[in-house]
Amino acid sequence: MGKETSTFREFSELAFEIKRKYGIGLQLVEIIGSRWSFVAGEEDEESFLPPERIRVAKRFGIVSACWSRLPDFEKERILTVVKRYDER
Amino acid sequence: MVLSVKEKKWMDSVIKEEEVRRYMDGEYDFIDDEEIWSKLLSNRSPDKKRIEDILQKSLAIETLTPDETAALLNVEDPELWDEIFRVAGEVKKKVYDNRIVTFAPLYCSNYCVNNCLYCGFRRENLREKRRKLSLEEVKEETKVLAGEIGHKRLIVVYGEHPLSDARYIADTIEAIYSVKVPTRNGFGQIRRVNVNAAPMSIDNLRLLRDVGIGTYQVFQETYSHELYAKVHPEGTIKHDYRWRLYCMHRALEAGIDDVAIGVLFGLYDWRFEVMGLLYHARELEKRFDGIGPHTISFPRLMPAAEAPFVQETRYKVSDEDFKRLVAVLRLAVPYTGLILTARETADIRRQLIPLGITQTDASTKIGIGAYSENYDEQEIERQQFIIGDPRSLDEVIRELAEMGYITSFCTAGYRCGRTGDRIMKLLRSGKEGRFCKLNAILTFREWLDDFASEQTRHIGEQIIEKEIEEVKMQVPENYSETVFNELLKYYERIKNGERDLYF
Repeated sequence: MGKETSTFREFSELAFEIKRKYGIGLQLVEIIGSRWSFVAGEEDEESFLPPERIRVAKRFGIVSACWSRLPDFEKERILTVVKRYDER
Repeated sequence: MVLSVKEKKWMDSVIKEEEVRRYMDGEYDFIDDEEIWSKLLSNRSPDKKRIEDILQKSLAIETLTPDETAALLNVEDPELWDEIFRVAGEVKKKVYDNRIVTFAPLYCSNYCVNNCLYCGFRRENLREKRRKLSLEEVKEETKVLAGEIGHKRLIVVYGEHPLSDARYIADTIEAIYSVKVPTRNGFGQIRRVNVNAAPMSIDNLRLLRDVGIGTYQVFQETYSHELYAKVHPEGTIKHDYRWRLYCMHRALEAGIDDVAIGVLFGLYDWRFEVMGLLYHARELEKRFDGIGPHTISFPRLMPAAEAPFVQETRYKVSDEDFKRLVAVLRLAVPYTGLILTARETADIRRQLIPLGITQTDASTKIGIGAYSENYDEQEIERQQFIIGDPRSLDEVIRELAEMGYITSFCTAGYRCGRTGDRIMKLLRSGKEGRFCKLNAILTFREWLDDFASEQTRHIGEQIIEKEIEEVKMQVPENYSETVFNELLKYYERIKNGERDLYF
């Protein structure tokens, strides 16, 4: 009855991989007005740093406390996946 | 008052039977009155050891079972109650830290097709002066709330009527978010609009979701099937118990992932109602991947114009029982926010806050248009009920500070993905409380600079110093050095006039 996890499996797997490789948590969110609603992703361990909000497309975005620490090619991979959700 | 043809037609279109049936287990809903009574009976005279074990479970931030909750409700030993009160406060601190969030209600319309026997908005109350705010008037109210008082969070309230349908509610939410007002050192804006409105269809709930609703709040009023039917007369929408009972299921399915439940205490036996709330929370957790109620409210029945049931009820809740029910709710659903409103007197609020309250309102006016028209007298013909604590936000904040609490205006969570099952996990693990602490410091600083009286500012700054010191003491166990340094940087930026920075 919750969010359809299978729809966002690709992002979930990617977020899991990023967390394993870099220790960085990424959350996919659906942007609804001022609400950025959690869809899928991984938690930062104990960071509590201010969240960076990256609006990827009209409907979806990324939240991560350590986005800027990610290598550019990883950012590209993530953005490509998220943009595809918006096109659906 | 006779309903018009248009009103009747609209009423016939509201309830979608299929949007109730789909969640039900055959013919039964999830509230079994007999089972609740049987749990309350079979858990009488619990021994001390069992209660202590239950308290440990609450401290581990686990939702209690109906048997465990019934055992707490049956405690008679005053010393054991003192222990329950103490642990309730401890659980709150663990989940939400030392902060109390404040908000204000904004009543937008008091037209109503229902006829609830305890409510001043009931359609047969001909003394009630009916009014619906225009969108311009909603903005005027918002300017006072955000620009003069300093609120960041509202709960908007509507009667159930075609004049205040889902489209109107969505428009008012957008109107509120659009207001930005200059203040002493920055700007004021409502950052989170929560909604208290009648149960709706999934399509209508999506309308609210699409304009960025904060929390959707509907109170069942009473979980007793029999009493519910009695106080919500036949022929009204509200008479349908199950349409109301399953509205949070529909909200979650519509994508509103912060939902809030409540009971109007005084309609029926308070122990039964606490059990009803627990069953509701557990049902939502079971169906929606662990997402339970974001908050629980527990208003007590108050005098209202032309509301016969208020005098009739046998179940008025004493102050002592009220304290007990709040503490048991805190322990039974440990992750949830608990909202105490200005219905209650200042004295009762002082007694209840240490038992696990997380949110309260202040500068409260519940007449339609009352903020911008600036009238202070309570007028029963313009209100749903009479409020008990009309103090200003400044006074309430000052008193909270004197009690050692920091007032938080944080609205960060729902704007950065801390919603739904994620926020639930963060709350249960105690992590959200650490965000709460940081964001309380930042938002309180904003409010002190923009709105506080000298007296409140003075004591407020002492509280902030204490909180910053506590964060420092928690490095590196709970916060890294980097986080602490970021906090100090953000704090300075806010002092220099930047606004809305958060963790």
